[in-house]
Amino acid sequence: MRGLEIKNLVVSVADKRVVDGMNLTVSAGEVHAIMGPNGTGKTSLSKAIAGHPDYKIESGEVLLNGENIVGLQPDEIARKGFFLAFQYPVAITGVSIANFIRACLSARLPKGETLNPVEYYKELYAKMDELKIPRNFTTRSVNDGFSGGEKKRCDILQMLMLKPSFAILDETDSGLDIDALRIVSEGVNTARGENIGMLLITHYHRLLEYIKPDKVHVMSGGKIVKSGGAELALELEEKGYDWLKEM
Amino acid sequence: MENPSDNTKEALNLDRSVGDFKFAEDYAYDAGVGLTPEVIKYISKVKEEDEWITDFRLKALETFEKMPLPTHWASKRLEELDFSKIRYYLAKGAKKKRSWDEVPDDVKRTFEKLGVPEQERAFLAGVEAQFDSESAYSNMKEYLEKDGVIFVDSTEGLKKYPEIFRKYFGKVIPTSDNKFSALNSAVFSGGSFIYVPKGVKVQQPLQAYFRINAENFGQFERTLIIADEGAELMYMEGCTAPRFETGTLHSAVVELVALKGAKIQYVTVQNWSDNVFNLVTKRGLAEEGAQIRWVDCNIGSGITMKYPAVVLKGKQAKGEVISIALANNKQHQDTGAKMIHLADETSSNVLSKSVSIGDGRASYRGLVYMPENVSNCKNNTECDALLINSNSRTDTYPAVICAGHNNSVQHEASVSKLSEEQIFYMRQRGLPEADAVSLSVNGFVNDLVKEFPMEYSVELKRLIELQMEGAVG
Amino acid sequence: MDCNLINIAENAKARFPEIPFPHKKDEYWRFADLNAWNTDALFPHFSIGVPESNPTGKLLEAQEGIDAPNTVAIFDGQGVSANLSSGLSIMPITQAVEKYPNEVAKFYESAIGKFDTLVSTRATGGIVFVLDNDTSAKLNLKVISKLGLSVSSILFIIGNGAKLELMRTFATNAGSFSLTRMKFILAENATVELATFKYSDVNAHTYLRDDFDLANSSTVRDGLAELGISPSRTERNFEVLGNDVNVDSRAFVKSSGSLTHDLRTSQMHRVGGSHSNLSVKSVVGDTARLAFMGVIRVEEDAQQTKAYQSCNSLSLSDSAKTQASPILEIMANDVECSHGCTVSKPDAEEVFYMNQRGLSEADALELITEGFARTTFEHLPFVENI
Repeated sequence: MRGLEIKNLVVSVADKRVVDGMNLTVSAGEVHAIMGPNGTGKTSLSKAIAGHPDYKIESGEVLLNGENIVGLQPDEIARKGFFLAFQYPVAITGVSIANFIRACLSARLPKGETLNPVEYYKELYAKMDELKIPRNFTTRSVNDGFSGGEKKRCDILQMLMLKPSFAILDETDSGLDIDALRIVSEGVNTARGENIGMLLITHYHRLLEYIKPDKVHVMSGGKIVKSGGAELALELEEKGYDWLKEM
Repeated sequence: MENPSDNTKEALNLDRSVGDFKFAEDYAYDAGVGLTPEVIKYISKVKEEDEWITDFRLKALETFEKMPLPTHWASKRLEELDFSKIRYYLAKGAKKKRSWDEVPDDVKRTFEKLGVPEQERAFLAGVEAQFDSESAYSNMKEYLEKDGVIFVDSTEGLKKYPEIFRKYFGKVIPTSDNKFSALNSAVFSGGSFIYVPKGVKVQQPLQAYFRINAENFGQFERTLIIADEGAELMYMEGCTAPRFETGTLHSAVVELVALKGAKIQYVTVQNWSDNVFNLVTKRGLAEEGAQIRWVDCNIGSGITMKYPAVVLKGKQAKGEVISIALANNKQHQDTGAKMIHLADETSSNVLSKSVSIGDGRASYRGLVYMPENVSNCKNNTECDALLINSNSRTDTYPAVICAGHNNSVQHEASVSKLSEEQIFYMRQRGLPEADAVSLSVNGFVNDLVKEFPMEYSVELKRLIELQMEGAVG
Repeated sequence: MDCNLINIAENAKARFPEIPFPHKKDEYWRFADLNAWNTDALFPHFSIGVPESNPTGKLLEAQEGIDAPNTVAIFDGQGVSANLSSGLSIMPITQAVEKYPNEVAKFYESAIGKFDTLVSTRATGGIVFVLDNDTSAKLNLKVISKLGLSVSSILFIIGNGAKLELMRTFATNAGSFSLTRMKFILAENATVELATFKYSDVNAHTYLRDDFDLANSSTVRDGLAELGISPSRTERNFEVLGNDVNVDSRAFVKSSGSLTHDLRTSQMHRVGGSHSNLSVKSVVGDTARLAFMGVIRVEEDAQQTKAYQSCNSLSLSDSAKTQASPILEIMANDVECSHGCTVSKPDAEEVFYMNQRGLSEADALELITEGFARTTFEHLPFVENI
């Protein structure tokens, strides 16, 4: 199937289990949200799927469009169509956003082919216009000295340009201001379509006021403990997470 | 993720094939192997020099022989140099060519491979292209001549303009400054002589390509640049060399004189093959309100020892060194800067970035000198080193000597490795690890690369971006 | 290893005349030309004389209270009183050499310079302190020099988990040349908290070399105040031989008159996973000089080292001179290392502010010097001692 399937996934960091028998399926065309209190393995899940070396997949499978991606190098996973919007994106001093995205696109071309710079800039500028990003933005170094909102803008622009088939957006648990919320939600709503599956990781339901997810999952103790429709988010908002701990 | 250091070595290996070619050459004049007073006299005779120059050379030889190798502080590898096995002078003997068409075919081929395309000449005010010891090609735009700008090789400068030449020659860098300046003073040939008259601002950069093209042949060019009051110029030099089986010595002396209010920018991209010993003395003298700026990029050579200096002799003079060094396997880039503040309100700035790859070693040696009798001087020095592999090495050896009224010196140095999180971020966007590393290194030096003039982007792009980034971009 | 003390002393005597005085032509000595130290007191170097001396002020104060508890006073290399807390023992090196032959031999083997070799010529006169495992002790050590040539060598052997709080006072009287070597060998989990004051009178010379051998998880917290008014040469070497070592070393140096204080430090990281931070602040006035050279060296296998160094010098006069050479030699890549060095004048605005509040120029500068000294020792646990 197209989309992301997580089967019995167990992940450990420095010998500590952080994801413990996780199962989740998100089909292409759908947007799901994972919610849950701090320290329940949400970010670990996204890093492990992306192939981060510190997050060891002990057992289980992650299928991207039907193909197991466990054990692949992070860049191979990315080129197979997986995109991760980081909770805390790092700065890459001296490398402009325009050059960076261009390098990323070039890496996806078959050997010997080169990117047409005219077409590239045409598309880049079109996407920037769509996101209401001023032209001089892409001459700045990636994430270098960016505000929270600018970092989000940079990530969403990359997502629209790289056209992944599946994206996980790991949102900061706090500090997402209205500006950043709006950028993320507009980006998600722009990208949304039948060719892309998306998984939002968030702590508060506020983001979900802007993005209507098809399904909401609650993660606790390294696995999904409850799934439901968009209304589950509201329920969580009212009751908090404590009542889930008894489950 | 595997240790990025291990499987990226390959990608960072500079593509040396760009400079790895040579053609068979016939030399009309050959001083043979070794260094004796006879060799010096032969060089002087072939060049039809005045007696004072011959004497100057012979005295320099004596000084050279007396001075020890600086191995008590510099690399012991200098001991590998066998001065008796080096050819000190070779010349084509061909007459000066005024237009590109008249340049001999084999020489032209070398330049074309080097990337001095004919169409690029339009960019350049004059091309002084040194081919082995003598300039084989020199072309100057009419307007330069009209303004009275002199741009010739040093041999011609000595003959035609002795009154200007002699006044400054060997004054900024005396023969006895160090062992290699003495060697150069004994056997120098080639290099540029430039004089820009009062108030003339040369709009386009003056450019010279240097090249070694004979085995065991040391190149000892001597450059003297004088910017008269209020004059401005930019000089650019680039070096690439074919690979040889035995060590080759390149030992240049470059003297700059910026008179009152003058500005000189001297830009170098150095990419000798890694068996070359590149031991260069570069120093500029800045009079009142003058500015001297060394922009220096060292990628090649086995050992480079080069510490561009500015002697800030006049009030409010400014000195600057921008330095990029890449030390790959077996290379030692021993570079730095010296700022000698001899007048009030002088300021200097040093920015240095180095990247050590494999067992490469990059060293920074610096001197900031402010004696008791100067006031209100400022220096700022920043050195950043990036270490790619676990066996890479970097050193920082600055010396600060500061007295006097209201002077301030600030020196900062840091050492870091590649950020694993940064590499992961880029790989998550689909970049192969080697490309991510290349891009990260490129980003590290980017703010200094921007300091190189646009006109030089051809060489720089080739030497840094393309070679570092491999398939990226 | 040769740990026959008589041989060590004889060898040192033979070598000493052959070792040249450090000269500024030598790269590592490029600042201080110690030929000026070529005083008659050194030749013949075993002549003993007691020069006229009338110590005053701080110098006098430093020589008092030698019979207080936990205090050992060393007069011209001879321990004269000992009143120690339990766990800490003192013995002559001639006795200690039987139990610690390697430590003693290594201590003298590392003497390669002019002055530390001179110290070795008195190898038989050394003193060894031993602090037992898992004990803690306080010690007040006073090194008082009056002779033309006053030589002390002191070895501290600090056991596992032991903690030594040491306050050192050096008082060198006029006309004396005081040479001291101390070495601290810290076993695992050992801690040394060291506060040092150096006073010297005019026409004196002081040489001090401190070595620290640091095993796993050992800690050094160190503050040194150089307040002497005669030339000094101080060498401080931190050898990081284990992981999880923590070194926090600060020095404040005040130079005035026409004297040179010469400070050389090294932070040698032989093993990774450790942390060292060294900071030097100096105030230089009149025609005085500070010569500082500090090396951070990280060996190939010493990954995950964090090593920092800074040197900030404040010039109070136009003829005051600072010569600084902070050096990095880094051979491992997974490290965080940096050094910084500044030379500056007191902030004119700051001085003006104080003038406006009624303080004279001299008062203002004194206050600024005091503040500078205070910031040197910030966050050290025994800051009140300094």
